[in-house]
Amino acid sequence: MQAINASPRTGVGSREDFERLFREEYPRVVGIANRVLADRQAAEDVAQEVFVDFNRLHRADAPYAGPWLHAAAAHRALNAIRSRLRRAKREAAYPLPAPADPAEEVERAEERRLVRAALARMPGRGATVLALRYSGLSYSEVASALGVGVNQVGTLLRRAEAQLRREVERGTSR
Amino acid sequence: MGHLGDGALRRLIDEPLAMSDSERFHYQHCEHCQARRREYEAQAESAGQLLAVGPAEVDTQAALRAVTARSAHPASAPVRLFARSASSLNAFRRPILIAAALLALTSVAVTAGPAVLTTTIFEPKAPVTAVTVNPPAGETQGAIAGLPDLSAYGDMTVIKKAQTQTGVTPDEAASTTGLKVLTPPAQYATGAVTYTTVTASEGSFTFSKAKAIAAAQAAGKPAPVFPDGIDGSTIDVTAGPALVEVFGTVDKNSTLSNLPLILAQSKAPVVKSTGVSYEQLEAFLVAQPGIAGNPSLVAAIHAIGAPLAAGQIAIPVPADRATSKDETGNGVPGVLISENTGLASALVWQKGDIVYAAGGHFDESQLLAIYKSIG
Repeated sequence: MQAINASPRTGVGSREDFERLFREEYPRVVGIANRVLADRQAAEDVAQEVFVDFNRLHRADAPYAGPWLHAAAAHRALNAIRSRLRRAKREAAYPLPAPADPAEEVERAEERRLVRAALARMPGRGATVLALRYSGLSYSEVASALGVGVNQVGTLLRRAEAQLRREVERGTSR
Repeated sequence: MGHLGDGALRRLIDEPLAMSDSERFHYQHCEHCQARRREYEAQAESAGQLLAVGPAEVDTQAALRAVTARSAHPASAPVRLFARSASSLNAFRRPILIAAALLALTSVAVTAGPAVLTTTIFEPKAPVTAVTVNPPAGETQGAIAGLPDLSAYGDMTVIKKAQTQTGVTPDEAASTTGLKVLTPPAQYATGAVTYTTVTASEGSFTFSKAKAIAAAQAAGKPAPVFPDGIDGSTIDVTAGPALVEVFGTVDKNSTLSNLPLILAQSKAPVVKSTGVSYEQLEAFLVAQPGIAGNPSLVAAIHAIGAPLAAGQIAIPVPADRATSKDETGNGVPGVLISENTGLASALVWQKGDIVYAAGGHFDESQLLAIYKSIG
Protein backbone atom coordinates (compact mmCIF):
# COMPACT_ATOMS: atom_id res chain seq x y z
CA MET A 1 0.00 0.00 0.00
CA GLN A 2 2.84 2.30 0.86
CA ALA A 3 4.40 1.81 -2.54
CA ILE A 4 1.32 2.95 -4.42
CA ASN A 5 1.30 6.26 -2.66
CA ALA A 6 4.99 6.92 -3.06
CA SER A 7 4.88 8.96 -6.23
CA PRO A 8 7.17 11.95 -6.59
CA ARG A 9 5.81 15.47 -6.29
CA THR A 10 5.82 17.83 -9.21
CA GLY A 11 5.78 20.87 -6.99
CA VAL A 12 9.33 20.37 -5.83
CA GLY A 13 11.09 23.62 -5.13
CA SER A 14 13.05 24.96 -2.26
CA ARG A 15 11.40 25.10 1.11
CA GLU A 16 12.59 28.68 1.46
CA ASP A 17 10.84 29.68 -1.74
CA PHE A 18 7.58 28.19 -0.56
CA GLU A 19 7.81 29.82 2.86
CA ARG A 20 8.56 33.18 1.27
CA LEU A 21 5.63 32.81 -1.11
CA PHE A 22 3.37 31.75 1.76
CA ARG A 23 4.29 34.73 3.94
CA GLU A 24 3.83 37.13 1.06
CA GLU A 25 0.55 35.78 -0.23
CA TYR A 26 -1.29 34.00 2.58
CA PRO A 27 -2.99 37.09 4.08
CA ARG A 28 -4.12 38.18 0.65
CA VAL A 29 -5.38 34.72 -0.32
CA VAL A 30 -7.37 34.57 2.93
CA GLY A 31 -8.69 38.05 2.17
CA ILE A 32 -9.99 36.98 -1.24
CA ALA A 33 -11.72 33.91 0.18
CA ASN A 34 -13.13 35.95 3.07
CA ARG A 35 -14.54 38.52 0.65
CA VAL A 36 -16.59 35.74 -0.90
CA LEU A 37 -17.42 33.70 2.20
CA ALA A 38 -17.71 36.42 4.88
CA ASP A 39 -16.37 33.78 7.25
CA ARG A 40 -12.75 34.14 8.34
CA GLN A 41 -12.30 30.57 9.56
CA ALA A 42 -13.77 29.09 6.40
CA ALA A 43 -11.61 31.50 4.40
CA GLU A 44 -8.49 30.22 6.15
CA ASP A 45 -9.52 26.64 5.37
CA VAL A 46 -9.92 27.55 1.71
CA ALA A 47 -6.60 29.41 1.65
CA GLN A 48 -4.74 26.49 3.20
CA GLU A 49 -6.26 24.03 0.72
CA VAL A 50 -5.17 26.33 -2.09
CA PHE A 51 -1.59 26.43 -0.82
CA VAL A 52 -1.48 22.66 -0.26
CA ASP A 53 -2.63 22.08 -3.83
CA PHE A 54 -0.22 24.65 -5.20
CA ASN A 55 2.67 23.11 -3.30
CA ARG A 56 1.89 19.69 -4.72
CA LEU A 57 1.59 20.82 -8.29
CA HIS A 58 3.81 23.81 -8.85
CA ARG A 59 7.16 25.30 -7.98
CA ALA A 60 7.02 28.14 -5.49
CA ASP A 61 9.27 30.27 -7.65
CA ALA A 62 6.97 29.93 -10.67
CA PRO A 63 6.26 33.36 -12.16
CA TYR A 64 2.53 32.65 -12.15
CA ALA A 65 2.41 31.71 -8.46
CA GLY A 66 0.60 34.81 -7.24
CA PRO A 67 -2.04 34.96 -10.00
CA TRP A 68 -2.63 31.19 -9.65
CA LEU A 69 -3.20 31.49 -5.91
CA HIS A 70 -5.52 34.50 -6.29
CA ALA A 71 -7.70 32.88 -8.94
CA ALA A 72 -7.78 29.56 -7.08
CA ALA A 73 -8.87 31.26 -3.85
CA ALA A 74 -11.74 33.04 -5.58
CA HIS A 75 -12.88 29.96 -7.48
CA ARG A 76 -12.69 27.66 -4.48
CA ALA A 77 -14.53 30.09 -2.22
CA LEU A 78 -17.24 30.59 -4.83
CA ASN A 79 -17.57 26.82 -5.18
CA ALA A 80 -17.97 26.63 -1.42
CA ILE A 81 -20.85 29.10 -1.28
CA ARG A 82 -22.53 27.46 -4.28
CA SER A 83 -22.40 24.16 -2.45
CA ARG A 84 -23.68 25.75 0.72
CA LEU A 85 -26.64 27.23 -1.07
CA ARG A 86 -27.81 23.77 -1.97
CA ARG A 87 -28.30 23.07 1.65
CA ALA A 88 -31.01 25.41 2.76
CA LYS A 89 -30.67 24.46 6.37
CA ARG A 90 -27.12 25.62 6.47
CA GLU A 91 -27.68 28.69 4.37
CA ALA A 92 -28.52 30.86 7.33
CA ALA A 93 -25.51 29.73 9.27
CA TYR A 94 -22.95 32.21 7.98
CA PRO A 95 -21.21 33.46 11.09
CA LEU A 96 -21.30 37.20 11.58
CA PRO A 97 -19.69 39.65 13.93
CA ALA A 98 -22.21 40.18 16.70
CA PRO A 99 -23.62 43.70 16.77
CA ALA A 100 -25.12 44.99 19.96
CA ASP A 101 -28.58 45.46 18.49
CA PRO A 102 -30.42 42.17 17.77
CA ALA A 103 -32.57 43.82 15.08
CA GLU A 104 -29.45 45.06 13.36
CA GLU A 105 -27.93 41.60 13.66
CA VAL A 106 -30.89 40.05 11.86
CA GLU A 107 -30.77 42.70 9.16
CA ARG A 108 -27.05 42.26 8.58
CA ALA A 109 -27.35 38.49 8.52
CA GLU A 110 -30.05 38.71 5.89
CA GLU A 111 -28.05 41.14 3.76
CA ARG A 112 -24.97 38.93 3.87
CA ARG A 113 -27.04 35.90 2.97
CA LEU A 114 -28.51 37.74 -0.01
CA VAL A 115 -25.09 38.90 -1.18
CA ARG A 116 -23.59 35.40 -0.89
CA ALA A 117 -26.56 33.96 -2.79
CA ALA A 118 -26.19 36.66 -5.45
CA LEU A 119 -22.47 35.90 -5.87
CA ALA A 120 -23.26 32.21 -6.19
CA ARG A 121 -25.79 32.87 -8.95
CA MET A 122 -23.56 35.14 -11.00
CA PRO A 123 -22.35 33.35 -14.13
CA GLY A 124 -18.94 33.59 -15.75
CA ARG A 125 -16.18 35.69 -14.30
CA GLY A 126 -18.33 38.31 -12.59
CA ALA A 127 -18.13 36.99 -9.06
CA THR A 128 -14.43 36.23 -9.44
CA VAL A 129 -13.52 39.71 -10.61
CA LEU A 130 -15.48 41.21 -7.70
CA ALA A 131 -13.75 38.97 -5.17
CA LEU A 132 -10.32 39.83 -6.52
CA ARG A 133 -10.77 43.56 -6.98
CA TYR A 134 -12.61 44.16 -3.68
CA SER A 135 -9.87 42.23 -1.89
CA GLY A 136 -7.46 44.95 -2.94
CA LEU A 137 -5.82 43.50 -6.04
CA SER A 138 -4.75 46.08 -8.62
CA TYR A 139 -6.20 45.99 -12.13
CA SER A 140 -2.93 44.49 -13.32
CA GLU A 141 -3.09 41.74 -10.67
CA VAL A 142 -6.73 40.97 -11.44
CA ALA A 143 -5.82 40.74 -15.13
CA SER A 144 -3.03 38.26 -14.39
CA ALA A 145 -5.28 36.10 -12.21
CA LEU A 146 -8.03 36.02 -14.82
CA GLY A 147 -5.71 35.66 -17.79
CA VAL A 148 -7.15 38.72 -19.55
CA GLY A 149 -5.71 42.04 -20.73
CA VAL A 150 -5.57 44.79 -18.13
CA ASN A 151 -7.85 46.94 -20.28
CA GLN A 152 -10.61 44.35 -19.97
CA VAL A 153 -10.69 44.46 -16.18
CA GLY A 154 -12.60 47.71 -15.92
CA THR A 155 -15.27 46.45 -18.30
CA LEU A 156 -15.62 43.14 -16.46
CA LEU A 157 -15.73 44.93 -13.12
CA ARG A 158 -18.38 47.45 -14.15
CA ARG A 159 -20.62 44.73 -15.54
CA ALA A 160 -20.12 42.62 -12.45
CA GLU A 161 -21.02 45.48 -10.12
CA ALA A 162 -24.23 46.17 -12.03
CA GLN A 163 -24.99 42.46 -12.09
CA LEU A 164 -24.39 42.08 -8.36
CA ARG A 165 -26.89 44.84 -7.64
CA ARG A 166 -29.46 43.21 -9.93
CA GLU A 167 -28.95 39.80 -8.36
CA VAL A 168 -29.27 41.16 -4.83
CA GLU A 169 -32.48 42.97 -5.78
CA ARG A 170 -33.74 39.80 -7.41
CA GLY A 171 -33.08 37.91 -4.20
CA THR A 172 -34.79 40.59 -2.13
CA SER A 173 -37.93 40.52 -4.25
CA ARG A 174 -38.37 36.75 -3.91
CA MET B 1 -11.68 60.86 -30.14
CA GLY B 2 -14.96 59.10 -29.33
CA HIS B 3 -16.38 58.66 -25.86
CA LEU B 4 -14.39 56.64 -23.36
CA GLY B 5 -15.21 52.97 -22.99
CA ASP B 6 -16.88 51.50 -19.90
CA GLY B 7 -13.67 49.87 -18.78
CA ALA B 8 -11.56 53.03 -19.02
CA LEU B 9 -14.16 55.03 -17.08
CA ARG B 10 -14.43 52.37 -14.42
CA ARG B 11 -10.66 52.20 -14.03
CA LEU B 12 -10.53 55.98 -13.75
CA ILE B 13 -12.36 55.65 -10.42
CA ASP B 14 -9.79 53.28 -8.94
CA GLU B 15 -6.59 54.01 -10.82
CA PRO B 16 -6.83 57.53 -12.25
CA LEU B 17 -3.13 57.66 -13.10
CA ALA B 18 -3.57 54.79 -15.59
CA MET B 19 -5.48 57.08 -17.97
CA SER B 20 -3.67 58.30 -21.07
CA ASP B 21 -3.29 62.01 -21.78
CA SER B 22 -5.71 61.90 -24.70
CA GLU B 23 -8.32 60.06 -22.63
CA ARG B 24 -7.90 62.55 -19.82
CA PHE B 25 -8.31 65.50 -22.20
CA HIS B 26 -11.51 64.01 -23.61
CA TYR B 27 -12.89 63.22 -20.19
CA GLN B 28 -12.27 66.71 -18.86
CA HIS B 29 -14.27 68.21 -21.73
CA CYS B 30 -17.06 65.61 -22.06
CA GLU B 31 -20.11 65.92 -19.82
CA HIS B 32 -21.49 62.63 -21.17
CA CYS B 33 -18.43 60.70 -20.01
CA GLN B 34 -18.40 62.54 -16.69
CA ALA B 35 -22.03 61.57 -16.09
CA ARG B 36 -21.30 57.92 -16.89
CA ARG B 37 -18.36 57.98 -14.53
CA ARG B 38 -20.63 59.26 -11.72
CA GLU B 39 -23.09 56.46 -12.47
CA TYR B 40 -20.32 53.85 -12.35
CA GLU B 41 -18.93 55.35 -9.18
CA ALA B 42 -22.33 55.00 -7.48
CA GLN B 43 -22.50 51.36 -8.62
CA ALA B 44 -19.00 50.73 -7.30
CA GLU B 45 -19.82 52.30 -3.97
CA SER B 46 -22.93 50.16 -3.69
CA ALA B 47 -20.96 47.01 -4.55
CA GLY B 48 -18.33 47.96 -2.01
CA GLN B 49 -20.95 48.22 0.70
CA LEU B 50 -22.55 44.91 -0.27
CA LEU B 51 -19.20 43.14 -0.31
CA ALA B 52 -17.90 44.63 2.93
CA VAL B 53 -16.64 41.99 5.38
CA GLY B 54 -14.95 42.05 8.73
CA PRO B 55 -11.15 42.08 8.97
CA ALA B 56 -9.44 38.76 8.25
CA GLU B 57 -6.44 38.90 10.54
CA VAL B 58 -4.37 35.76 10.27
CA ASP B 59 -1.55 34.01 12.08
CA THR B 60 0.63 33.37 9.07
CA GLN B 61 3.25 31.40 10.97
CA ALA B 62 0.70 29.00 12.46
CA ALA B 63 -0.96 28.62 9.08
CA LEU B 64 2.40 27.86 7.46
CA ARG B 65 2.99 25.10 9.99
CA ALA B 66 -0.45 23.63 9.26
CA VAL B 67 0.06 23.73 5.49
CA THR B 68 3.56 22.26 5.76
CA ALA B 69 2.21 19.40 7.86
CA ARG B 70 -0.63 18.75 5.43
CA SER B 71 1.75 18.82 2.48
CA ALA B 72 4.06 16.32 4.15
CA HIS B 73 1.23 14.06 5.31
CA PRO B 74 -1.66 14.37 2.87
CA ALA B 75 -3.66 11.87 4.90
CA SER B 76 -3.90 14.40 7.71
CA ALA B 77 -5.87 16.74 5.51
CA PRO B 78 -9.60 16.88 6.21
CA VAL B 79 -11.39 13.83 4.84
CA ARG B 80 -13.09 14.88 1.65
CA LEU B 81 -14.10 11.64 0.09
CA PHE B 82 -15.41 12.74 -3.25
CA ALA B 83 -14.55 16.37 -3.40
CA ARG B 84 -10.83 15.87 -3.62
CA SER B 85 -10.51 12.68 -5.54
CA ALA B 86 -13.22 12.93 -8.10
CA SER B 87 -13.96 16.55 -8.63
CA SER B 88 -10.42 17.75 -9.14
CA LEU B 89 -8.42 16.39 -12.00
CA ASN B 90 -5.40 18.01 -10.42
CA ALA B 91 -5.77 15.37 -7.75
CA PHE B 92 -5.04 12.63 -10.27
CA ARG B 93 -1.48 12.65 -9.15
CA ARG B 94 -1.45 9.00 -8.33
CA PRO B 95 -2.93 6.09 -10.18
CA ILE B 96 -4.89 5.08 -7.12
CA LEU B 97 -6.70 8.40 -7.27
CA ILE B 98 -7.54 7.77 -10.89
CA ALA B 99 -9.37 4.69 -9.67
CA ALA B 100 -11.16 6.70 -7.02
CA ALA B 101 -12.33 9.15 -9.64
CA LEU B 102 -13.30 6.40 -12.00
CA LEU B 103 -15.43 4.87 -9.31
CA ALA B 104 -17.30 8.12 -9.36
CA LEU B 105 -17.02 9.16 -12.97
CA THR B 106 -16.66 6.16 -15.22
CA SER B 107 -18.14 3.25 -13.36
CA VAL B 108 -20.24 0.63 -14.94
CA ALA B 109 -23.82 1.16 -15.90
CA VAL B 110 -25.16 -2.10 -14.58
CA THR B 111 -28.78 -1.30 -15.13
CA ALA B 112 -28.55 2.17 -16.60
CA GLY B 113 -31.17 3.39 -19.01
CA PRO B 114 -31.93 6.87 -20.20
CA ALA B 115 -35.42 6.84 -18.75
CA VAL B 116 -34.27 5.82 -15.28
CA LEU B 117 -34.12 8.71 -12.87
CA THR B 118 -31.67 7.24 -10.40
CA THR B 119 -29.48 4.31 -11.32
CA THR B 120 -26.83 2.46 -9.39
CA ILE B 121 -23.82 2.62 -11.68
CA PHE B 122 -21.25 1.07 -9.40
CA GLU B 123 -21.73 -1.43 -6.61
CA PRO B 124 -19.01 -4.03 -6.06
CA LYS B 125 -20.21 -7.49 -7.02
CA ALA B 126 -16.97 -9.38 -7.70
CA PRO B 127 -13.62 -9.87 -5.94
CA VAL B 128 -11.19 -6.98 -5.67
CA THR B 129 -8.64 -6.93 -8.47
CA ALA B 130 -5.39 -5.14 -9.30
CA VAL B 131 -4.51 -3.35 -12.51
CA THR B 132 -0.95 -2.64 -13.59
CA VAL B 133 -0.75 0.93 -14.74
CA ASN B 134 1.61 2.13 -17.46
CA PRO B 135 3.30 4.52 -17.76
CA PRO B 136 4.76 4.53 -14.25
CA ALA B 137 3.38 6.92 -11.69
CA GLY B 138 5.97 9.62 -12.22
CA GLU B 139 5.31 9.91 -15.94
CA THR B 140 1.56 9.87 -15.45
CA GLN B 141 1.87 12.59 -12.93
CA GLY B 142 3.99 14.75 -15.20
CA ALA B 143 1.57 14.31 -18.05
CA ILE B 144 -1.44 15.40 -16.06
CA ALA B 145 0.05 18.33 -14.19
CA GLY B 146 -1.52 20.89 -16.52
CA LEU B 147 -4.96 19.35 -16.81
CA PRO B 148 -8.13 21.32 -16.10
CA ASP B 149 -9.68 21.32 -12.66
CA LEU B 150 -12.77 19.10 -12.78
CA SER B 151 -14.18 20.77 -9.69
CA ALA B 152 -14.94 23.70 -11.99
CA TYR B 153 -17.01 21.41 -14.23
CA GLY B 154 -20.02 21.50 -11.95
CA ASP B 155 -21.20 21.82 -8.39
CA MET B 156 -20.12 19.56 -5.56
CA THR B 157 -22.33 19.02 -2.57
CA VAL B 158 -21.21 17.15 0.51
CA ILE B 159 -24.46 15.61 1.70
CA LYS B 160 -22.96 13.77 4.60
CA LYS B 161 -19.46 14.65 5.73
CA ALA B 162 -17.18 11.93 7.02
CA GLN B 163 -16.13 12.38 10.62
CA THR B 164 -12.77 10.93 11.63
CA GLN B 165 -11.89 9.97 15.19
CA THR B 166 -8.56 8.54 16.33
CA GLY B 167 -7.75 6.93 19.63
CA VAL B 168 -11.18 5.50 20.36
CA THR B 169 -11.72 2.27 22.28
CA PRO B 170 -12.52 -0.99 20.44
CA ASP B 171 -16.11 -0.81 21.69
CA GLU B 172 -16.49 2.77 20.52
CA ALA B 173 -14.96 1.85 17.16
CA ALA B 174 -17.43 -0.98 16.69
CA SER B 175 -20.46 1.03 17.76
CA THR B 176 -19.50 4.10 15.69
CA THR B 177 -18.95 2.18 12.47
CA GLY B 178 -21.09 -0.91 12.87
CA LEU B 179 -18.00 -2.89 11.79
CA LYS B 180 -16.45 -5.78 13.66
CA VAL B 181 -13.10 -5.06 15.32
CA LEU B 182 -10.51 -7.49 13.92
CA THR B 183 -8.08 -9.39 16.14
CA PRO B 184 -5.01 -10.74 14.33
CA PRO B 185 -2.69 -13.48 15.65
CA ALA B 186 -0.65 -12.22 18.59
CA GLN B 187 2.74 -12.64 16.89
CA TYR B 188 1.83 -10.02 14.27
CA ALA B 189 0.19 -7.54 16.65
CA THR B 190 3.23 -6.49 18.60
CA GLY B 191 2.54 -2.82 19.37
CA ALA B 192 -0.17 -0.84 21.11
CA VAL B 193 -3.31 -0.66 18.97
CA THR B 194 -4.68 2.63 17.72
CA TYR B 195 -8.26 2.57 16.43
CA THR B 196 -9.41 5.19 13.94
CA THR B 197 -12.99 5.43 12.74
CA VAL B 198 -14.45 7.24 9.76
CA THR B 199 -18.21 7.65 9.56
CA ALA B 200 -20.19 7.11 6.37
CA SER B 201 -20.12 9.93 3.87
CA GLU B 202 -22.07 10.97 0.84
CA GLY B 203 -21.42 13.52 -1.85
CA SER B 204 -23.00 14.48 -5.12
CA PHE B 205 -21.66 16.28 -8.15
CA THR B 206 -23.79 17.99 -10.78
CA PHE B 207 -22.14 18.73 -14.11
CA SER B 208 -22.57 22.24 -15.51
CA LYS B 209 -21.41 22.96 -19.04
CA ALA B 210 -21.83 26.72 -18.64
CA LYS B 211 -19.77 26.75 -15.48
CA ALA B 212 -17.06 24.58 -16.99
CA ILE B 213 -16.71 26.82 -20.03
CA ALA B 214 -16.58 29.95 -17.86
CA ALA B 215 -14.00 28.41 -15.55
CA ALA B 216 -11.82 27.28 -18.44
CA GLN B 217 -11.94 30.78 -19.94
CA ALA B 218 -11.09 32.37 -16.61
CA ALA B 219 -8.14 30.02 -16.15
CA GLY B 220 -6.95 30.43 -19.73
CA LYS B 221 -7.44 26.69 -20.34
CA PRO B 222 -8.84 25.01 -23.45
CA ALA B 223 -12.62 24.77 -23.58
CA PRO B 224 -13.97 21.59 -21.96
CA VAL B 225 -15.76 18.98 -24.03
CA PHE B 226 -19.29 18.04 -22.98
CA PRO B 227 -20.75 15.10 -24.89
CA ASP B 228 -24.54 15.01 -25.01
CA GLY B 229 -26.25 13.98 -21.78
CA ILE B 230 -23.58 15.09 -19.34
CA ASP B 231 -24.69 18.67 -18.68
CA GLY B 232 -27.03 18.74 -15.69
CA SER B 233 -26.54 15.11 -14.76
CA THR B 234 -25.77 14.24 -11.15
CA ILE B 235 -23.56 11.55 -9.67
CA ASP B 236 -24.00 10.52 -6.07
CA VAL B 237 -21.34 8.59 -4.17
CA THR B 238 -21.70 6.96 -0.78
CA ALA B 239 -18.81 5.39 1.09
CA GLY B 240 -17.85 4.15 4.52
CA PRO B 241 -18.06 3.80 7.40
CA ALA B 242 -14.49 2.62 7.82
CA LEU B 243 -12.30 1.35 10.64
CA VAL B 244 -8.49 1.31 10.72
CA GLU B 245 -6.44 -0.57 13.30
CA VAL B 246 -2.71 0.17 13.59
CA PHE B 247 -0.75 -2.30 15.71
CA GLY B 248 2.21 -0.07 16.56
CA THR B 249 3.42 3.39 15.60
CA VAL B 250 3.29 5.07 12.21
CA ASP B 251 4.97 8.45 12.14
CA LYS B 252 7.60 10.42 10.25
CA ASN B 253 10.27 7.92 11.31
CA SER B 254 8.38 4.99 9.85
CA THR B 255 9.89 3.22 6.85
CA LEU B 256 8.84 0.23 4.82
CA SER B 257 11.14 -1.93 6.92
CA ASN B 258 9.48 -1.11 10.23
CA LEU B 259 5.90 -0.64 9.12
CA PRO B 260 3.60 -2.31 11.68
CA LEU B 261 0.51 -4.31 10.87
CA ILE B 262 -2.32 -2.12 9.63
CA LEU B 263 -5.81 -3.55 9.25
CA ALA B 264 -8.42 -1.52 7.44
CA GLN B 265 -12.01 -2.22 6.52
CA SER B 266 -14.63 -0.10 4.84
CA LYS B 267 -18.08 -0.48 3.42
CA ALA B 268 -17.51 -0.42 -0.33
CA PRO B 269 -18.50 2.71 -2.24
CA VAL B 270 -21.73 2.83 -4.22
CA VAL B 271 -22.20 5.23 -7.10
CA LYS B 272 -25.57 6.33 -8.41
CA SER B 273 -26.41 8.60 -11.28
CA THR B 274 -29.42 10.43 -12.63
CA GLY B 275 -29.65 8.28 -15.71
CA VAL B 276 -26.30 9.08 -17.29
CA SER B 277 -24.62 5.94 -18.59
CA TYR B 278 -21.17 4.47 -18.15
CA GLU B 279 -20.37 5.04 -21.81
CA GLN B 280 -21.27 8.71 -21.55
CA LEU B 281 -19.18 9.25 -18.44
CA GLU B 282 -16.11 7.51 -19.76
CA ALA B 283 -16.39 9.36 -23.07
CA PHE B 284 -16.65 12.59 -21.10
CA LEU B 285 -13.50 11.94 -19.08
CA VAL B 286 -11.26 10.80 -21.91
CA ALA B 287 -12.45 13.61 -24.22
CA GLN B 288 -11.20 16.39 -21.95
CA PRO B 289 -8.36 18.64 -23.10
CA GLY B 290 -5.10 17.28 -21.78
CA ILE B 291 -6.42 13.71 -21.66
CA ALA B 292 -7.64 13.21 -25.22
CA GLY B 293 -4.17 13.89 -26.64
CA ASN B 294 -2.42 11.66 -24.16
CA PRO B 295 -2.78 8.03 -25.30
CA SER B 296 -1.00 6.58 -22.25
CA LEU B 297 -3.32 8.37 -19.85
CA VAL B 298 -6.38 7.31 -21.85
CA ALA B 299 -5.06 3.75 -21.76
CA ALA B 300 -4.59 3.94 -18.00
CA ILE B 301 -8.15 5.18 -17.55
CA HIS B 302 -9.54 2.39 -19.74
CA ALA B 303 -7.37 -0.21 -17.95
CA ILE B 304 -8.75 0.81 -14.58
CA GLY B 305 -12.25 1.28 -15.93
CA ALA B 306 -12.54 -2.23 -17.37
CA PRO B 307 -12.78 -4.10 -14.04
CA LEU B 308 -15.10 -1.40 -12.73
CA ALA B 309 -17.35 -2.27 -15.64
CA ALA B 310 -17.46 -5.80 -14.24
CA GLY B 311 -18.42 -4.56 -10.79
CA GLN B 312 -14.93 -4.99 -9.35
CA ILE B 313 -13.03 -2.53 -7.21
CA ALA B 314 -9.78 -1.95 -9.11
CA ILE B 315 -6.55 -1.17 -7.32
CA PRO B 316 -4.06 0.47 -9.68
CA VAL B 317 -0.51 -0.75 -9.24
CA PRO B 318 2.23 1.45 -10.77
CA ALA B 319 4.37 -0.84 -12.91
CA ASP B 320 7.63 0.64 -11.67
CA ARG B 321 6.84 0.45 -7.97
CA ALA B 322 4.90 -2.65 -7.09
CA THR B 323 3.60 -5.96 -8.32
CA SER B 324 0.27 -7.64 -7.79
CA LYS B 325 -0.87 -11.24 -7.55
CA ASP B 326 -4.33 -12.73 -7.72
CA GLU B 327 -4.90 -14.64 -4.47
CA THR B 328 -8.19 -16.33 -5.33
CA GLY B 329 -6.21 -19.55 -5.85
CA ASN B 330 -5.22 -19.37 -2.17
CA GLY B 331 -8.82 -18.97 -1.14
CA VAL B 332 -8.65 -15.19 -0.74
CA PRO B 333 -11.21 -13.15 -2.70
CA GLY B 334 -8.68 -10.47 -3.55
CA VAL B 335 -5.12 -9.57 -4.42
CA LEU B 336 -1.67 -9.27 -2.91
CA ILE B 337 0.23 -6.08 -3.72
CA SER B 338 3.95 -6.12 -3.02
CA GLU B 339 6.26 -3.16 -3.06
CA ASN B 340 9.21 -3.83 -5.39
CA THR B 341 11.86 -3.96 -2.68
CA GLY B 342 9.90 -6.70 -0.95
CA LEU B 343 9.87 -4.77 2.32
CA ALA B 344 6.13 -4.20 2.47
CA SER B 345 3.02 -5.88 1.12
CA ALA B 346 -0.72 -5.63 1.47
CA LEU B 347 -3.50 -8.11 1.01
CA VAL B 348 -6.80 -6.61 -0.13
CA TRP B 349 -10.00 -8.59 -0.26
CA GLN B 350 -13.74 -8.18 -0.23
CA LYS B 351 -16.50 -10.03 1.56
CA GLY B 352 -20.08 -8.99 1.04
CA ASP B 353 -20.13 -5.21 0.87
CA ILE B 354 -17.00 -4.76 2.99
CA VAL B 355 -13.49 -4.26 1.59
CA TYR B 356 -10.62 -5.32 3.85
CA ALA B 357 -6.88 -4.65 3.71
CA ALA B 358 -4.02 -6.01 5.81
CA GLY B 359 -0.57 -4.60 5.21
CA GLY B 360 2.83 -3.77 6.66
CA HIS B 361 6.37 -5.14 6.75
CA PHE B 362 5.17 -8.66 5.98
CA ASP B 363 5.53 -11.22 3.21
CA GLU B 364 2.86 -13.20 1.41
CA SER B 365 2.83 -16.17 3.79
CA GLN B 366 2.49 -13.94 6.83
CA LEU B 367 -0.37 -11.95 5.29
CA LEU B 368 -2.14 -15.18 4.28
CA ALA B 369 -1.82 -16.36 7.88
CA ILE B 370 -3.33 -13.10 9.08
CA TYR B 371 -6.14 -13.45 6.53
CA LYS B 372 -6.91 -16.98 7.63
CA SER B 373 -7.12 -15.78 11.20
CA ILE B 374 -9.41 -12.81 10.62
CA GLY B 375 -10.82 -13.21 7.10
